Amino acid sequence: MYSAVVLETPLLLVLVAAPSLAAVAELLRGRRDRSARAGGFAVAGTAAALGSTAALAVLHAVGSPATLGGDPAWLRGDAVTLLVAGVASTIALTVLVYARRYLDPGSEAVRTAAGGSAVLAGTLLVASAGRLTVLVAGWLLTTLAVVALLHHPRLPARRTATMRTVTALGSGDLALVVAAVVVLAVVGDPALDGLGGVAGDLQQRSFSVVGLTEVSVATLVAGLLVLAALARASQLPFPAWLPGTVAAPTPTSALLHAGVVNAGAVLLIRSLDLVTGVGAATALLALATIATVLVSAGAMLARSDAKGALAVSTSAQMGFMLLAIAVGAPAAALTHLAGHALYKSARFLGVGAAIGTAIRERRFAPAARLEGSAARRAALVVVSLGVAAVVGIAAGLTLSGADAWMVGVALAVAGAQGAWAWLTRPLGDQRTTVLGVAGVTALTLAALGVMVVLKALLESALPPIGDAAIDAPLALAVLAAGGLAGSWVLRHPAHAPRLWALLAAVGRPRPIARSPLPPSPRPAGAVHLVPARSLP
Amino acid sequence: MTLVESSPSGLSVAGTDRAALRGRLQVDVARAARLVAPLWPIERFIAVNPMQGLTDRGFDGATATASRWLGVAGLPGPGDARRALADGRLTRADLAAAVAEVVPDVAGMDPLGGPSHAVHPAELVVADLLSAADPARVAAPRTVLEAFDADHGSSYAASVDDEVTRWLAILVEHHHGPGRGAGSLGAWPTWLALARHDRRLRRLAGRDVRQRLEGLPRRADDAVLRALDVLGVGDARWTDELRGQVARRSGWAGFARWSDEWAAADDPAPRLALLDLLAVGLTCDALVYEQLRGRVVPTARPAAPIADRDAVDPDRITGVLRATGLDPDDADLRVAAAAVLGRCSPRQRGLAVLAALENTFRASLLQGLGAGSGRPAPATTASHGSPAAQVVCCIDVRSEGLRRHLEAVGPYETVGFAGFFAAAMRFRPAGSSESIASAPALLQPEIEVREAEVADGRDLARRRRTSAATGASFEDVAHGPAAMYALAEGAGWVLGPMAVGRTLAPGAASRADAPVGALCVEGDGAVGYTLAERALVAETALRTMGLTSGFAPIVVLCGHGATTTANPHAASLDCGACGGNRGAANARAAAAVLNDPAVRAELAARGIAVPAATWFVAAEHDTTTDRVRLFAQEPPAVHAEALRRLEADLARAGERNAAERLAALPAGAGRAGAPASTRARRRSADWAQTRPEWGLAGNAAFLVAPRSLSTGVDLGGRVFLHSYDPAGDVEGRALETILTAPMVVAHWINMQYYGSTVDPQRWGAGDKTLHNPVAGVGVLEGVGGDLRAGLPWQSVAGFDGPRHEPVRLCTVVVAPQGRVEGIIERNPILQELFDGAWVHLVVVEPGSETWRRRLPGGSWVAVAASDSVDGRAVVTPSAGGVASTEDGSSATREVRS
Repeated sequence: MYSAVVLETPLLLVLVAAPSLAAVAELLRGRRDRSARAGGFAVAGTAAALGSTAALAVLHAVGSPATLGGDPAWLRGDAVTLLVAGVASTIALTVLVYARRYLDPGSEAVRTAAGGSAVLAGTLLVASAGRLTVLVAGWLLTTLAVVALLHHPRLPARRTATMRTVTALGSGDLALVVAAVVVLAVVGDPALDGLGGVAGDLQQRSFSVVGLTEVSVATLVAGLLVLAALARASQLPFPAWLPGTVAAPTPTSALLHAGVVNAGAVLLIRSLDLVTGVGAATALLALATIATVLVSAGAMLARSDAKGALAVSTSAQMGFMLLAIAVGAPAAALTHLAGHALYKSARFLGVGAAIGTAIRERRFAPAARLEGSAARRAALVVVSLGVAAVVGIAAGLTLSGADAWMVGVALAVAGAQGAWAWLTRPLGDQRTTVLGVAGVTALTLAALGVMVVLKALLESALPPIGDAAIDAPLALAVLAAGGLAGSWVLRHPAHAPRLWALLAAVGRPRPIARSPLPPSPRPAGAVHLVPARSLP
Repeated sequence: MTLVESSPSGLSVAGTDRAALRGRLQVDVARAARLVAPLWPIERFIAVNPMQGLTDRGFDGATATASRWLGVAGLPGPGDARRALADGRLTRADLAAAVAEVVPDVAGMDPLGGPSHAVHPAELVVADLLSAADPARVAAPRTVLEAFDADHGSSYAASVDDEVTRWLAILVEHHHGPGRGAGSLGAWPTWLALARHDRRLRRLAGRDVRQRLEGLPRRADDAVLRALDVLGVGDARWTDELRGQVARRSGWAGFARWSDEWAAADDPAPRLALLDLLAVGLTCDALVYEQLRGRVVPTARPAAPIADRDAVDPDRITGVLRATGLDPDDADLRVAAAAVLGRCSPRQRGLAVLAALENTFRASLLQGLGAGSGRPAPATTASHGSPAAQVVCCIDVRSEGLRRHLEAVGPYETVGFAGFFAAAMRFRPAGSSESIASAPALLQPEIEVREAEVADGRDLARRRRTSAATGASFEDVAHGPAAMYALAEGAGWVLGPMAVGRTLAPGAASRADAPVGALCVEGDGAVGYTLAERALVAETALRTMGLTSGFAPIVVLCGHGATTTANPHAASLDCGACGGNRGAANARAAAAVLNDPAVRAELAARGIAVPAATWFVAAEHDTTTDRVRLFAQEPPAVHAEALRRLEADLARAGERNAAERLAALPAGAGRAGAPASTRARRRSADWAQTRPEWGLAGNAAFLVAPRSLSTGVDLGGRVFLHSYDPAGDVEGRALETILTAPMVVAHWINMQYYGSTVDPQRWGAGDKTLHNPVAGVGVLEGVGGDLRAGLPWQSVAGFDGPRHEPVRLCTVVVAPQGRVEGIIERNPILQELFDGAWVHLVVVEPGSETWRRRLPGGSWVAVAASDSVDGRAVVTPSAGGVASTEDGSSATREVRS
């Protein structure tokens, strides 16, 4: 698992320090000169972080993972660190370069530059943490940076979003801090190698809850860690804070994917042994994420605004990612983390093209329709299922265990839906249809290949997996059933108005109707002061 | 305890009464709808006058009405005056003269101070104006619920607005136009079904809201009537309440107005009926009000919401007296100053600023065109030389720069004509299942022109369909609840690097020109024009632009379009004359028509002899990159050499124009050393660029004249240029066409930019960085709220402030005054525009040196030479870029002989 030979290097310090210093520099310059063009320092700091990641990757490839500090190391650069740091730095660099051109000089530009650098610094700290305290420090720094990014003194929509975010993230952070304090009190500052070593110690301690049951400290800590991860990823039962962040400019929405929403996965993977060892915690994780996935996927279909739909779908995607950890497929979770972060930030940056693209597709693309004889329709179904089968078999052959299930089923469903979408848009040309289906299959297999490669690279840094609390096939079956049912039901609001009304309100702050009078319930049939003429 | 006002009396169940009520409601709804302008779907953004429904009240009345109902200022404020002063566009003398013009009372008052230091009262007002803050936008209560909120300090109306706009977005997205959207009920029944289960409505309107919703009528108009009844709105005040409802969601109401009044029956865009919008809004208001009024004592609505005068407090008087050099402690002076300041309301101050800006611009424009220089206005467009080519450009202000540079680099003549080249049509590109209306918004074209499916041996239709099907399949998978996980993961590895590339190196990948197929303009009148129609198109085009003789060997019909990336308002930069689309299709259609030998024979029969050697070629000017693409498929060999030279000259002219434009854009310098065309191309391909070009910002005048009047004059890209031949248009038909169509379009564009500059929150679309595309028809700002109409702030302003100068259009016509007066008399629309002070009119007789301005009411006043601006000229506001100062008085004028 972990190689005994490590390499001490200050590169790790550069990795973390560069964006932090950049954030401070941006703040100072912004304070001195409001009208100067902000973002130069931020870009430089982020580029330095990306460069360090690349250098560390080279070191890792030729030699051994890097560490910095004492025993246990403060910082370390194993495969997980490098993947997360690489993705986060790339996204942050892109977004900050974008923001520098996109935002007019002023307080918003300064806020984005400084906040973005701080978010990256926090993420890098979390990803490269060798100890629990370092991880908690990075986590708190990220939360602070997010709140700073969202906060705006004058705009009410931003204020509401900030309040919601503070509530949600604050509760998660509180859970994390309590867990850290408990662990520190019991076993000191452990190395983040899955926390398997200390799990045993924690199991032995227990305390009683309201004199009724005995709960072991391990259960408490694992539960709190799970709650922290859930809150960060905008999962139930925490309030959905992601949709409100759409009130901030586009670069901020994209930045949130550079390690803010994904940090939960890193936390859980670094404490994987502890968390998977506690059945209750894993069950909580699985239930919360499955529920979130079902609700968020539905809510995404019920959103009419492009940015809102992207934000809500992020909740669902994060649910899928955390579910992968619950079923014992951390490699799948990490590959999903990386791919999705790049995808979502790219889509946010390009959201302005949403309507133009939709119109062009409406004009030129053949409408998706299922027509023809029963035999023909059956053939389409068979072909789509065939693509799914091919992909599924390939996944089963190249991956194993829960990874094979999560990745395989997800890719198989995607391949089938892609083939179906293509087949139901007849272009009138056999050759194009066949090429299209082949293309879908090839792309899906290529994605599988990428995931296999990534998993192989990550193998060395992942702790071995114990028994998962939830069976992967079961979880996926629930998801698939819910997804299919939802997509059929939600095709139009009138099909399921109650569900639609519920989902359409996800993520919105409750209506405020300040009135000096307390609301009083009206009993049905009360006499109105003025008879309301009911028009027939 | 007072009860609510009496409900409509005599509500009987009889059918005829019900029908009468519904009829009355329709009338009142139509009246209320005029408060907002129609809002086109954003992919074919049409610039509209925000006060389009109020034009019959005149500019003053319309801005006052808009101010009362929408809470807009409607006029430039002290901030604009201060900025203009700092830029050098205005002097205090200009402002004082404007104050004297707008407030005659003040002009007639005695000067203050002694004989040694006499201060005219107008100067006092100017000093006060310059030190004032921008007037606060007061939102007066407009509806019953807002009045309740004002009385009790609650915020029910704002919460209801949040909910209603959220519902409207859902309803619009799922209530498509006819023939699409399977299983969709009307918007109102859908809302009833959804609202029944909405917990948020329960929070606002009480727990029994579900029962109350059951009892609501199934027809939207009945629901409106019932809600008006519940709110206690009497018959006479229906219009007011409806206006208030419209004002509270002016964006969606504007879309509803487009949907009801302007959308073609087979338009595939989503729809929203205004009656449905009002039904939802009023019902929510009524539901909330019902549960409130039982508990509180309703009070009378405040009578006059906004005072039209502001308080004249002692500090103000002191400041004003000090600023004008008078003694602030002199009691008599203080009394006199208070009298002066009390005469001038905030509205009048705004009108004065507007008048000052307009007067200065007009004076500098006329001076640049030669007024007061002793030079007679040209009488005809007949060319004096033998140009190698004539280039017909759209009247768009951006053509002005290209035309100026093109005339400077080679022997070319340029002509201005509306960008649809009289070929109003529905254009169907190869592979498309819809046809696009490619004509000014005022026209409803019926003839469809199709693009050939095969071009240069490539199957265009198949390529486009395949590419679109790929995109659509991708979106299907991305939204599939079970399939989106793997897609996000896999696609991230492709989209991520693409995003990095696009951000770090925009425009690195040079886009090849998209292939186009030939247009089939011949046909039976449904698809393709008949011969008679083609001849009409050709004749109209040539006669209206005054090009009936003296044809050059090559005549270029140059439409325009803009290339931007990830820009929801992309269509706002495209050609307005082509319905918010690119102009290439119309140019190609017109060129095909004019090259047709049969059409030429018809033209000869009608008196226009086009030489056989003359060849019409279509082109498109990309206004963001300043590249002109010629659609010269199979040119005649005799023109090959000239065409090659023309292409080279167009590239050179484009390069110069791009350099000039980029200097005025914020951060337009880009990487040093790169040629302007590369920098412009990079800017257009940059998805992080909120200002790829300035578009029509700065537009201020409409010139109807032979080109020789303005050749060589640097008009700064602020003037719409339409060519006109006074000598050849004896009956005035061409002039009438120009004034009643292109000028109205220019007026709409001018007022759209005016509104978005003067009131960016109500009439403009707000901050572009917060824009959130919604329902496929428009944008929201941020997470919710009303649909945004108008232009985003970044389109009218730079880093330091507005780039567009909020002035009304100044039309300058070279024609006999009698001809113009006759045309105005025959056309009510022109009477509305000119008498209502929406558009200024200046006329100069051909061959004369007397320029006259028409005042509202029909009288004419001479434009005196002393109105000149002493060397200050057509200066565009500096906003983060280098201020482009064009000194009209010393502009080079090349007199073509």
